[in-house]
Amino acid sequence: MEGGQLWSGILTALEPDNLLFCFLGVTVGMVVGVLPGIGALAAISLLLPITYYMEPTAAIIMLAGIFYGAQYGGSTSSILMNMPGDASSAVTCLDGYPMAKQGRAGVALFITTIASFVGGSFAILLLIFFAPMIADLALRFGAAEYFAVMLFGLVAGSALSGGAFLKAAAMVSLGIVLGLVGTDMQTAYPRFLLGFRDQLFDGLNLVAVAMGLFGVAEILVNLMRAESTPFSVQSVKLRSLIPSWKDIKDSIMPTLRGSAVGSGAGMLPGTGPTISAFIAYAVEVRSSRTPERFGKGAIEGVASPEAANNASVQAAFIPTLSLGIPGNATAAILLGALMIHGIVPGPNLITKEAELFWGLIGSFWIGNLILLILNIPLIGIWVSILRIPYRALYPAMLFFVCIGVYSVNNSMFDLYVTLLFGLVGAGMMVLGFPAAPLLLGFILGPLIEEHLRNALLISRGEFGILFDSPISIGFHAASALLIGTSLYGVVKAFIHRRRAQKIQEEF
Amino acid sequence: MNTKLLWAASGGVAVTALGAAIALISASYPVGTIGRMGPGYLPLVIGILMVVLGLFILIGDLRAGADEEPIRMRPFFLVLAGVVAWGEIAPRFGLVPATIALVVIVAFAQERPRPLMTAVTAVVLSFMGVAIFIWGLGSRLEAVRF
Repeated sequence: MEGGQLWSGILTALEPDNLLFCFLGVTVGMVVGVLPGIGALAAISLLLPITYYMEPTAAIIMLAGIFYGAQYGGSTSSILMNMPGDASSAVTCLDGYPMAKQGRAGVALFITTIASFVGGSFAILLLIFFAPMIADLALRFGAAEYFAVMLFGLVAGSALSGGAFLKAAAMVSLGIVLGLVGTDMQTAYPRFLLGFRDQLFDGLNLVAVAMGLFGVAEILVNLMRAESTPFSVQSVKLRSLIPSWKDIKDSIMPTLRGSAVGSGAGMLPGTGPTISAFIAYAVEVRSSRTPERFGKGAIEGVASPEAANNASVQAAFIPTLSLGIPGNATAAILLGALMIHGIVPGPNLITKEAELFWGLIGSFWIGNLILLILNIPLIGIWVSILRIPYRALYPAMLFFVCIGVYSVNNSMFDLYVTLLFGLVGAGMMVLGFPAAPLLLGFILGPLIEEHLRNALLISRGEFGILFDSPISIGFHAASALLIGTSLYGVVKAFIHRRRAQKIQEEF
Repeated sequence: MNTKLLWAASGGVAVTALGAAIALISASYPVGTIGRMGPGYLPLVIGILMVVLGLFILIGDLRAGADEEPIRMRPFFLVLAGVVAWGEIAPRFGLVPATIALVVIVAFAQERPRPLMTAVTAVVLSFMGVAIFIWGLGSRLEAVRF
């Protein structure tokens, strides 16, 4: 089909610069994935300022590499220490750590790496196939359709954030308003400047907000929780990686199921790798003939979620690149990076920026291959990285936050914005408010307002236009369904808790 | 008990208050009509939505109660101080003194700071900062300025 373009994409990705940044990206991703306490989002926010100086293709290749590299790394600490290196690998602890206790850490690491590779590759194939198709379709989208898809993205981002729905919805709302700060594009009216006319008329800086919410906040919360004890990490010998035939046979179907679940969930705007991994695990437990083995070191329980989170990360690029609607919060930052380079995300991107699109896809293949090599023969290095104490890391991270934010605009104001969002983000973490939906709202807010306004302007205030096409109706129905089931869950938990309290009082 | 309750309430109260503030501010902007939305329209709607969400969050959190987690405030203030120090020193005296100040201040976020490790970190980061951002990327900051 697009064989020629794919090939030229691989060639683009193999250009020395791009190859170097791809390697750099996946390696950084692997490192932050392995280390608990630093996630892909934080790492991408940290490196975002550096990409200002780079070619857009190389920049996006590197940032994307961090994103999927972290999915490979995350499982390492889940398996060896029962401590997810990245949120998306949390469910891998459930069976990975018991496997390690049984002396099968090597096998678990090997299988998760292969599962990650399969999951990633599966989703890349879907991306190659579907993204141009969806972009073609989207060329006929009007403002109403865009509004419907984006609204769905925000709803899915809050309903499937894994946290409390109402809190996530509140954060999406706050994010939208934060995104509106600055001069209104249609009326040139300044909004929410709070007296900082000069500093805020262009809006809040994405890098400053993201670094605060994901960089500074994480550091603060890690430091404010009780002093951590150093981990003891068992070493892993290369020989112990080799799985038995039974291990391989047992992981084939779960890996494929995980890839499918992860791709499906990842493709939806708003749902990220963490939720994909959880769904995949649940599917595996349900479809197993021996569900009682899960949680005690079942190999299916590591293969499926790891395939799913990698598939999800790659599939998230489908809406991101074909519609300009981020598949999840991390993809939102990548979109922000594109916009900073003057590239307008949307259905035109694939044809207008063909080199970037196909180069990025080429880099996905190469990056996944590099990760395969980095993971299996070099596993010893990653195990030793786990021994780095957090106290050696956080001063360096704070330093990169400071200089990174400052360098974007040579502005100290941005640094203080980062600090403010760091404090806000730390408070949010402690009180159980998820930060990813806020960022999603922040990026989508101005776009959603624009499309809503345009749609209603065309119809002269007639709400019917929002439900005029099957695409809009479909997405609004999906949004309504998600809100309905989430609210039902909230109400049920409310009643349940009340009953539980009553029972407690009676005894 | 009272502090625990206060803690549990803070999230919902903050969302409600923010929502109210957003709604009030946007109401002072031209709101417009549905067919011709002014700059105040969407934020006004969202502000009201946040007030409603905040109240429900408040009820839910009060009912659930917050889990008491020991939180150390010392790192909080030291990180704050470290970043502010970097931000104030870097443009005036240069990247190297700012970085040293940051690393030394935040080192005290640990119960028992290690002088040697802190010194090494300060030197390595100063060098990396100068190499990557000043020599490599041409940042407007200077290494040391008098």
